[in-house]
Amino acid sequence: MRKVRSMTRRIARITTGAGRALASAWATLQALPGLLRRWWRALRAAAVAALAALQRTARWAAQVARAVVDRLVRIGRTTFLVALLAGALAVLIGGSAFAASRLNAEYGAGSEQENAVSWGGQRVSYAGATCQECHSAQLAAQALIHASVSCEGCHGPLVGHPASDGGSSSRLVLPNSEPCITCHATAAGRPPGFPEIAPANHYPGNECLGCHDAHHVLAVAPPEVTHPLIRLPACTTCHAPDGLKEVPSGHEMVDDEACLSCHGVPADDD
Amino acid sequence: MTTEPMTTEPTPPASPEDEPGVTFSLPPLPISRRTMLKLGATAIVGLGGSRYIFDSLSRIFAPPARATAVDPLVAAYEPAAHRWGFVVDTTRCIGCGLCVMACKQENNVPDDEEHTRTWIERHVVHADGGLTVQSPEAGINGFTAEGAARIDPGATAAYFVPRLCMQCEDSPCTGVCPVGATYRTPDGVILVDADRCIGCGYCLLACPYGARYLVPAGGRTPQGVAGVADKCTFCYHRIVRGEQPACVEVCPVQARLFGDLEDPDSVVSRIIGSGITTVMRPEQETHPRVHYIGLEREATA
Repeated sequence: MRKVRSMTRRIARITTGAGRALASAWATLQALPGLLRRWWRALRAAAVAALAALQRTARWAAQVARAVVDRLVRIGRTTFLVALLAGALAVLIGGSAFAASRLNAEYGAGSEQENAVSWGGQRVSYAGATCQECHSAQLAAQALIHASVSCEGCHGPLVGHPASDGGSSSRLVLPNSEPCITCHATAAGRPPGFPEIAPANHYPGNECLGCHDAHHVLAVAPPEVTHPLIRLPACTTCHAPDGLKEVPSGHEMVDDEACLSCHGVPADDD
Repeated sequence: MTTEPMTTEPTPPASPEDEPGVTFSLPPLPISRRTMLKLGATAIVGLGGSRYIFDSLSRIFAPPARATAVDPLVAAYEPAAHRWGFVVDTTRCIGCGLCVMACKQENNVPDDEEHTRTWIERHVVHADGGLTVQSPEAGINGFTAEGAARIDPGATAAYFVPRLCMQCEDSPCTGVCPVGATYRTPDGVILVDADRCIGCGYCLLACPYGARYLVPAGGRTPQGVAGVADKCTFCYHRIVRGEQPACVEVCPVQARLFGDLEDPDSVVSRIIGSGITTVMRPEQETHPRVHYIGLEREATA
């Protein structure tokens, strides 16, 4: 019984809902013709206004065109010829200017950017500071001496750098097998005070890099003194006064000013 | 532009403006159909013709095709914003030759002393005022002990003079080129367009500094072609990237300095502004962009 009652209630609910929906749809349908009529009237009014505006514009344009054509017709033959000549001249001058501008573009004068781009295409071989990215230790070793000597000056341009396989990257481009000689061999013309050595006198037979570190060049072990120095009258007693190495020196010097200017301070060695 | 037509009109347009209508007709034009057709045809032919002329000119004078990939550094470079200058300090140069080697490597310059963009001279001033100039192998291997000082112990001065193109502001070379192949950029560098150069050699004769040479066949060629004039470019391909010329890069004693004269605080501006520099052969009035320190030791007798 209860089931029947709930059923009827549900049916009643559904029918009421449907009835309401139907009523609403019917109302809309009834209103539609009036709505359509209003839309149509508005549309027609807009079209008429647009057409009128179009017509006014067209009439104005026609008047302007007529005035222009009329003036053209009234221009005499002479004037026309003069205008033609002027036009031809303008084409000639314009064409020449155009040609000149294109020429300049190629020659660099009118288009500096193009010229820079053209030259900028050449390969850059010397990379400058790029070497530091991997070789900062060598650079640091040069902080006191040779700080201004670039890597690529001795080692050549980065562009030929060996592959990063740990292979021999210590190639040199310097012409001499002894790299120091290029700059430090005695030669006329070097600035006063620039450190120079006479290769024939400065430990001949030894390689530069046997004593000097390639990058920390002054990290050289002090020479071992092989004989007492104090009682000797002068450096040149043993060493030739002209070149130094009559007897190769291997120690710090005692008293000869000429020698001491390069060869350090006296050492007490009794 | 709402002026009334100036001519007498057979039938002026009839419809008043306030009446909205949907039809209108153009008033009759006061020119015949024949004239109209002629005018139209002329206009079409004229337009087509000028278009043809423009296209032809564009084709004839089109710049050569460039590589598509442009370094952003180069693309951002503004030539007119710079005025490059160079200072050579002969009191610092040690004659090691690294600059010559770097130049030849960087620019693929021929490997001999006759054909070189830069070279080092040793100037020896004798007691009598005479001058001896030596440049063995253009100085690329440095200078040996067999110097002029040994030959003349009485020399009053001996020093090294690195040489390169002076990038003159009033450059004789650009004036004599018959084909316009050598030109000056807005930032003050003289360049040679190898595509245009015919190798006549006039610029070599015109240059008061001997800075130019003709690229010989069979060796290295800076611009990929022999038989054309070549010279120092201040490493233009490097400076448009904001880098220093290769010779400046490798100089171990800062005897070569490069910078922007537009920047009053640049090293070159300060040095030149201090008045200690001179230029080579000022009597030529070429106004070089390369300035020298220490050239006054040169014999004046």
